[in-house]
Amino acid sequence: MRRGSHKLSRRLFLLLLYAVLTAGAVVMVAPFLWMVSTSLKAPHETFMLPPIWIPEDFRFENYAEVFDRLPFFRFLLNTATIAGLVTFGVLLSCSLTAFALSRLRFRGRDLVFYILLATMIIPAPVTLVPIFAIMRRLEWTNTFLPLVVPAFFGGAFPVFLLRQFFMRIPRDLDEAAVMDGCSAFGIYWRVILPLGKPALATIGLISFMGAWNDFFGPLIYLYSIKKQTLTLGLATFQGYYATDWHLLMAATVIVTLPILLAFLFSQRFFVEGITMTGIKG
Amino acid sequence: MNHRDPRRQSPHRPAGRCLAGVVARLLAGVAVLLVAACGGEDEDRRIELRWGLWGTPEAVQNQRRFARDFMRLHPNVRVEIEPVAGDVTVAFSMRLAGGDAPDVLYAGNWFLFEFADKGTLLPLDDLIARDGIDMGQFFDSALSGIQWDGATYALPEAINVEMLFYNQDIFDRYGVPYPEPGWTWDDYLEKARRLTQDTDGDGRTDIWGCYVWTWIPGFLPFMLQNESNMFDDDFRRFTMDDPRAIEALQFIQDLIFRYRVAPGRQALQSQLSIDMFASGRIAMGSFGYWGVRELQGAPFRWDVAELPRRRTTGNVVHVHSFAINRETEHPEEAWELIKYLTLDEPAREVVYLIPAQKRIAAEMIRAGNEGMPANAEAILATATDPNTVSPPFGPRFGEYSSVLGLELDGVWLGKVSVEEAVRKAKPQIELILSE
Repeated sequence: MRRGSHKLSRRLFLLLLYAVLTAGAVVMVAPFLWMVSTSLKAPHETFMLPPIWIPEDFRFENYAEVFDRLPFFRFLLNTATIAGLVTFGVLLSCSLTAFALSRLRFRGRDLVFYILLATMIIPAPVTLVPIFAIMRRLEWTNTFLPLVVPAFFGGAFPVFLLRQFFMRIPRDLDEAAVMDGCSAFGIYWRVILPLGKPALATIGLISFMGAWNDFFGPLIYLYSIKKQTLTLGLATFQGYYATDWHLLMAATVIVTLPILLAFLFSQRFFVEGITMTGIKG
Repeated sequence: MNHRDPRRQSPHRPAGRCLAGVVARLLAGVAVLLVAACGGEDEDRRIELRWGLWGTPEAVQNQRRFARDFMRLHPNVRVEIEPVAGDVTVAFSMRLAGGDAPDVLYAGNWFLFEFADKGTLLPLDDLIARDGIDMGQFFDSALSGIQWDGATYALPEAINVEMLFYNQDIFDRYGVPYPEPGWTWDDYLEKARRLTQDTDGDGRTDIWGCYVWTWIPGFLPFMLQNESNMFDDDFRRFTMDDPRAIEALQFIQDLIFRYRVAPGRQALQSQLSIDMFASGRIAMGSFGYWGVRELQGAPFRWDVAELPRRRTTGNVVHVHSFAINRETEHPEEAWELIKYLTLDEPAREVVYLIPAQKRIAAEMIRAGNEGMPANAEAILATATDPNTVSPPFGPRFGEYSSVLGLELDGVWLGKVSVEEAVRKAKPQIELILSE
């Protein structure tokens, strides 16, 4: 009898849990579904009251129209190039910096780290104009360089995250590697990087998403239509007079899809990366 | 890790060199990729013209085609298209200030004179006289949006006037007669009251009788109709404290708060008014001619009418034009490009705006194309009306309009009287004008 009631309360608990989780999932997924739904509507259906979830006809031609109106493939290629290079640059420069700040011993190491952390306090708008002026002097405007090159010079947050992760990799491994004749770079390449994969995946995904979704950088540096990115293309659908919501949403679905796929495939690493940097002493 | 063969990594190789080598090789690879990505084509075209543009996606799509056509006619010129996303005024002023602006700029009268006043645009009068261009072929209202202080700073491509859009289904449902030429504010109010409906009886308005945009292009027509304006003729005195101007603003405030026939900010929330009209929740709304575009495929019958009048008619015009950056290295080619865009084939392919050339506009409107409202003649009548003028978009427009916007905010929230808002705005705006 007691066992039965125990089982029942456990079931009730599970039921409640699933109910709460389902409600949460609905709240999270609804905007996405609304986006997909709007992307298939006719223009006048987008603001109908009561709202229409399933359009009368599925207008897949909205997607064709997006590609028709703007050179979307070019934008896709440009965005992928920039996001790929930025991700590569961040992973390379930040993992090296984090390695030096966590594994190598040198004078002033912690001071360097704290100065680096302190740069996080400076709001980006403050440095915007000077950086723009520098890029202009270098004649780098209207090229990918202002968006890509800074990634190769590290950044406070990824270095911080990677350093904390690397600190937790037992030093015994380094010592064993040194015993076997491994150089400092060998330790980085053969010990730290393979063990740091979850953190690297997290940083990689964050950088990729950041670069993929970046609007402001491309907005101020990329002028020519041949060099512009997806986010700028999206903004074109928000016209001066009015917005084509159905096309904007179709374009947004196209832009979101790669990120969504990237997240689905690296989700395991991603969550692991965040939790592992958070716990363990 | 440590069980790997240690001989694979030479213990004698210094870490630094190895690392530098790797980094150097990687950076070289990146450089190659970037050069490949940025490399140009058409190297034999010696002259590069940069053309900054914006607009509806259809317009941008067309303009890309115009650029290709122009290049076919001018084999030595390469036209580089630079679409501007976001705030056009900010983007152009930033690039002009940085000395990195396009040679040809697609401009609007709401920022053209601000740029002209800073000396960043090429005055075109000499070129116009040299090539004998007849400016009389354009609407007078179009010229009011490109000429300032006796100088011409652009060639007009298209204009846009405010029209009254009305939902015929709603009018029919409540037996309200359609607006007729020469109708007045009283007719407008009377119709709006009869059209405002709470269809489900929950005490909240479901259909609004009318809609007025509470910003300059929205309220200035009412002021003009009441024979008042924002400034005096030499742009020194702020004249919105004139009783006729106040009466016009008061009328709009009353539509929202006294008669409750127009949606205020709360009813609109973040929804665009044209979207609200398109979903059948507004019976009459004044929108720019571009509204025609948004209403394609609307599930109800609609038409346009002239704005109502009071003492006289009145309307405002937005003028789209092409200007030349004063710092361009190729003024002749830039001039050829803007002439091509405003006088040649492209002038016939204006989409969802009214062509600036009178003859082309009349042809387009009278052709009765699909999507053109039945009463298209009203659009032509408005465009040619001498009381259809460019709003006072002077050089300091950005500054005084933000002061005015802040002071009028309380009016449109129903918290401040029109007199008080205008009285507070006057000294601040006249100070800006006197500087």
